[in-house]
Amino acid sequence: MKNSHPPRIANKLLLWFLKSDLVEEVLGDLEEQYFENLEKYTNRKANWLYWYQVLNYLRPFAIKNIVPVSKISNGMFKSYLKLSWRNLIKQKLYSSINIGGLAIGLASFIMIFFYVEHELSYDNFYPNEQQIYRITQRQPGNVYKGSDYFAVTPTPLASTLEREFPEVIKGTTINYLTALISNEDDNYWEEGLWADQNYFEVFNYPLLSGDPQKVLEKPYSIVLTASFAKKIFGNLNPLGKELKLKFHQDENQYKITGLIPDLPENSSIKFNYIVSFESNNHYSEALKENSWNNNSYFTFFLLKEGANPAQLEQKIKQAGIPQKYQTDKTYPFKDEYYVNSLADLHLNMSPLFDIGLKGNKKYVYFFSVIAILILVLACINYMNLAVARSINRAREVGLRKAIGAFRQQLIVQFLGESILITLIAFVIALGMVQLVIPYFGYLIERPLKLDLFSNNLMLPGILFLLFFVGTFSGSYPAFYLSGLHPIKVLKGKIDNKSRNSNLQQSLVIGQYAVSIILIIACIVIYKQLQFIQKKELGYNKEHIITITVRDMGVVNNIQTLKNKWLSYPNIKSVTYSNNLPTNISSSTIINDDDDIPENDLSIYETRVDYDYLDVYGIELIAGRNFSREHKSDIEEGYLINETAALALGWTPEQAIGKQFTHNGVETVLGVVKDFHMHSMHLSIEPLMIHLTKGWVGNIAVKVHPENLPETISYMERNVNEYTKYPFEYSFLDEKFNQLYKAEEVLGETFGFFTILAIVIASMGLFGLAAISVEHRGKEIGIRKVLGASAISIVSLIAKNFIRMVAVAFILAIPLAWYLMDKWLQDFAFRIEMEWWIFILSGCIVFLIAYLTIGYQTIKAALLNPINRLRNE
Amino acid sequence: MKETKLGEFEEVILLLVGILGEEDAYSFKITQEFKDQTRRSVSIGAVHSTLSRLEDKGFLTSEMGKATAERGSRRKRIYAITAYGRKTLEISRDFKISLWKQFPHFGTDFGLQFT
Repeated sequence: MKNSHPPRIANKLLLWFLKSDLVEEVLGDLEEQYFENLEKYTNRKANWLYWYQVLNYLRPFAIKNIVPVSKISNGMFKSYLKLSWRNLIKQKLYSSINIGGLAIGLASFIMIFFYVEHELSYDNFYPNEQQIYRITQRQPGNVYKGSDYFAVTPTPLASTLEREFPEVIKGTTINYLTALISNEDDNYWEEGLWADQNYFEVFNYPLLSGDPQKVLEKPYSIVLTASFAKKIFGNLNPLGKELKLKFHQDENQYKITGLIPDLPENSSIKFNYIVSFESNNHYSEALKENSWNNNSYFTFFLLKEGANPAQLEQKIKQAGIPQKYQTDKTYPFKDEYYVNSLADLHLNMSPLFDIGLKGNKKYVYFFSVIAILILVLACINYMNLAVARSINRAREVGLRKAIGAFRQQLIVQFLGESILITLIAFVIALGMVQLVIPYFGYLIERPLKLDLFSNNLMLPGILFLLFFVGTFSGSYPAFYLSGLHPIKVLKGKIDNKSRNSNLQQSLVIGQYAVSIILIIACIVIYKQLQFIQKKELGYNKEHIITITVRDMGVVNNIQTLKNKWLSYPNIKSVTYSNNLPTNISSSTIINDDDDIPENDLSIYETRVDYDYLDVYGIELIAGRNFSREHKSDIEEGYLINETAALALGWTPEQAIGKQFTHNGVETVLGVVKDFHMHSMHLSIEPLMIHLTKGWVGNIAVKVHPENLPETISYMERNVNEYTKYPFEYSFLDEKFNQLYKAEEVLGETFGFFTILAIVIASMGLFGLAAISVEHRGKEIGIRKVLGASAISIVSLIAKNFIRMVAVAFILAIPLAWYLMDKWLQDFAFRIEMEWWIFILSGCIVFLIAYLTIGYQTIKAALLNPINRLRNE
Repeated sequence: MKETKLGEFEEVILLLVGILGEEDAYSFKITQEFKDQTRRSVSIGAVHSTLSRLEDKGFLTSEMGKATAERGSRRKRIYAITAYGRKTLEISRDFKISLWKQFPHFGTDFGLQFT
């Protein structure tokens, strides 16, 4: 027999809470159970089971009267409630500070909770969500915009997985598309999805009508969402009807085979319709030829229940996928495939070219921390004010104790009071959330709403939160006040200085340290955004309108358009290219000496027309621009940027006339000054520019700022002559600002919560100053009688508080510096954190603190001393 | 409906006390018997809590047994069913039977006819 005994700590716990007259029988029963378990299970398991049994004795019938509930009669409760209420009414200032602070704290917490919950809920509406996985890949060395992870995969991957690995039940290939959809004369420019016939088996989403396995089987089938169908057909039955779809140069009739309900808000993949992938020539040819050379589509699959995704990843690697299928032997990268879950798509990973709406995990953490901080700040206020007011409450405590109150009763009374206040604050907080959440949701671009029943855990969670906040903020006053000695208290011998004022001070210091950190963060974010806005970009983004081109009809007539526009008075110049300079997206590989493969240089490229440098104001530092007079320019003439010249080992001057191989042998005509072709998060990479012969992605028009609407509608009329696609234009500086949308949102939200934090901290300080003045009323009176000036009295009281803020300031600086330095690391181009930022934030906080206590102190200093000293 | 003041769990526990008799009707054994008979898992604490509630309602009495060498010479609390408890169980049973008799097809399935 194993020589063991029930876990001692469990026994201790049991003895601590168990009614003494039950101890003998219960210990006996549990021991008997324990030894029986020992025969059947391991030692460890028996111990766990013992714990389970012990914890199951936490039932009302078995628990000692730790809190002598029986001693608190109904009448007593009524009296507590009445007293709490009277206290609330009598001390209007403190009550409103307490309730207001807690309400703001709770409101921020609830709001951020909704945001976090929404972010975490993405894609959880598929019944088989746990089984949906996808393949992403890494192409080691193929670095693009700072990463070599890609979300796109070859066309035959889904069917190959299905064939070779039994744990893959179904695989589906999808891609997004935006097409012009026409029903007779109505045109709709809408986002949709390509998907093969397995789509609805992987993404198990109930259809409104149609057989999920058949709706996408035939080429030229289309499935519409309910709202899109309604938009096109009204209340007519759309099934079996035909729509015309146009994208790029394709134009075909598609038959409506099914209807699905609209996707929920928390779907990261959004679309209004799904088109059968078989209708796409690129797809169906690549599938027929089993071509693994293109990574263009997304591969999702359904994993067998219980199968291990990590093992599948290993098996894919061992099977030599994709290498064994790749026919292009010169392909330089050794692709690695990874299995990722659908659940990770929204928040946890962002490979290049990914599908779906992305969240920001960092911000989820960030906001969660802020929510907790603000709530803690509010709780601290409550604690501080309660302790500071303890002198007033101490008499009550003394009296209660003298006539026979138990300490436990007092604890219950004070905790009850703080929970009551928390409840009132919660009701106000709900009102605040209701008012503010639409704006907050708009700011962070999420459809948030106040819905306490959206989640089963929500209500218990909120109850727990309220209980916790109430208990936490009431704990110190409850335990401190209830421990006072009645005789000392009634004699008035309570010292309020020593230990609780230490605690009070550290709490205030903590509050202010948090506020200072938040202020510094705000300033740094603001400065960095300013820096990005003002930084010399290397191109001009003002007064440029860009027009997106989607139709060959426009491309073919681009010269006509250009000439026509150049003669329009409000248009200064026109150019076109396949990328905007804000975001150059294609990259390739060149070499300046084919004999040395190590000289391969990964380089971004963009195709432009003759006036590109001119319109964008990109500076040429050596050589010449493209010229219509040199006929060879269009075939082999290239401009490169300084970084490219440097990477190839040339100075800008040396580079002129040098040759490198790309498609053929190419010649460098000139070198342009580096400009920011991506966001400031990334450094400037090598770039080459050459003339476009075919496709054009954007037309850029430099305009006079006068009569803009007229100019735009003129251009719209012209473009519409060549295309049915809707006219899409934007201002280049807006496009530029979109690159920093996330930072802007962060800055604004941060500013908002910083203000809340400061408001809460100031409310606390205001209350404390008021109490301090009240307590030292007589002292102030005597000082005044003896001839102290108002100023000396102000500084007497302010001194202590200002000292606390100073300590907070010293504590906050290193932490703030560390945190913001980490944030700035994300930018390749960033500001230095200058000393004045810290000084400025310090000054702001000092000023706020001084104004907060100023009112109270000056009032005290100016009051006629007689009023203070008269009554004894 | 007659007020028996007995929940399903309570009723089973009460029956088990009757089944186990005066030797074994204490919390641990009752819990074991419950698990064996119902294949449902339950903690001793839950059973104990029900037993003490049944005692409060007057369906059970209890007294401490004699000390034995087992379980560190700790005594057991032995429960016994009271006349009132037994009566309540019977009422509950009769009531259910009367319900079953009204249930369609029950009688015919067993070749019985109730009119």
